[in-house]
Amino acid sequence: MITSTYIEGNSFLHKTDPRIKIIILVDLLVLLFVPIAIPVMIFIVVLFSMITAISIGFYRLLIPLKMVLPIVIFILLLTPPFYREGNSLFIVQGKIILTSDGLEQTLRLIMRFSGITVLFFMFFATTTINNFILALQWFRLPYRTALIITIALRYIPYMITVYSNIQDAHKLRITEESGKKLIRRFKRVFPSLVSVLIQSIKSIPTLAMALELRGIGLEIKRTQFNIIKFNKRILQLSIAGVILLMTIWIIRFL
Amino acid sequence: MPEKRNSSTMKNLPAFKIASLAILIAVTTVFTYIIRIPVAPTRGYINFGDVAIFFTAVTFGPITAFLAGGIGTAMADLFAGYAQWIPITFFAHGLQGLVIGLLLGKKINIQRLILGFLGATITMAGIYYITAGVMYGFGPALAEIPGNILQNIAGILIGVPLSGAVRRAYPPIRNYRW
Repeated sequence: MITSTYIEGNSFLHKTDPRIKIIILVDLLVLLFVPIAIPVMIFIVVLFSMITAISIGFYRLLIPLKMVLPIVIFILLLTPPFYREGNSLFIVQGKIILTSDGLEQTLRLIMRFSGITVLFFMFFATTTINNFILALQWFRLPYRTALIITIALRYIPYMITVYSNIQDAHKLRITEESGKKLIRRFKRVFPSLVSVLIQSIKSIPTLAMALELRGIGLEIKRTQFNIIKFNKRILQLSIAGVILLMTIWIIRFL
Repeated sequence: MPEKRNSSTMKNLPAFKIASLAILIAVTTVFTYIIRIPVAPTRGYINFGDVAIFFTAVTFGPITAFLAGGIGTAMADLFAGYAQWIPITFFAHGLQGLVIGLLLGKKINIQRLILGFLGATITMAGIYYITAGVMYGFGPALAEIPGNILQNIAGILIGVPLSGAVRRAYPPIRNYRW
């Protein structure tokens, strides 16, 4: 089971029911997309960033924020030129660089994007994947879909190991080339991909049989839940069988 | 008496569909999250998620590609720390798989390949552009389009030959399409 997204803890957020967290997450996401005042948006983002920082630690909260930093820089650079209305705030050599409308839109987009990032991080850092799937099932996620996701999660570490082993085996057989060219790199990885895929696909029939033995996907119930009902025909045939046997036994003495 | 089954009858069983979807989701996640090739000029990476989607669409058909592509890449986003992209990724890559599967069909030729590539690129890059535009502006969202096109080029150039190579090495896979 991969647990890289979940951070162990005993905080208020960890103890909160995942279903409540899903509802709050969806509500806040909707709120970030409706046209609310910028100070309210900033308040929401700061409040939930602080709750997350208290629950899992300030430095851990920096991880997702660092990952979205390039996009935040893009927003800062590319949003103001698209909004020319409003008061001019920053002018260089007669050219308007930033207007009040541009500043408002830039702040709104930054708050929206970092808010979404913080909210999703908060949810998955304090909710195990098992609890997440159970909560989705409570929200009527079909059992088969939940089962598929659970099995896939079980197989991911196995496939990573298979890929790693195949890569190591290929490295022993193929001489190291100077892999600066992209095509050469692709060529080198291709045989490993074929091997990983064959190894993975070969396990499909075995897994299907294992699932059927557990009664999954069968139109009839599992053997232990199947009760054959008694009917008169069985009784008639049984009596007929006994009579036949007795008749043969009696004929033997005649 | 035990029922006789071969791969062509087995593919219609619910258990087989569950098993194949689970395995292909795991394959897509590993291809997206683990298998990457660095691109020197941009200092970025090409991930193999789109390779897995093209492979699944060609080999297993559009429905499997939709589910495996959508859920597999969404799970990779979750593990990579980009959880905010999960809903968008699910639809972008899921529909990309569905479009490839529908446009390529069972018999592949050069026209269908071009059509499949265009369809996949427009679907995936288009969904990402619109949703990213709503999320953080249409100007910054433009920066992602070249990367998404590159991903699709890698997907078709590696995914389709990969399907051929796997079919040759493991012939029963021909009957797994559903």
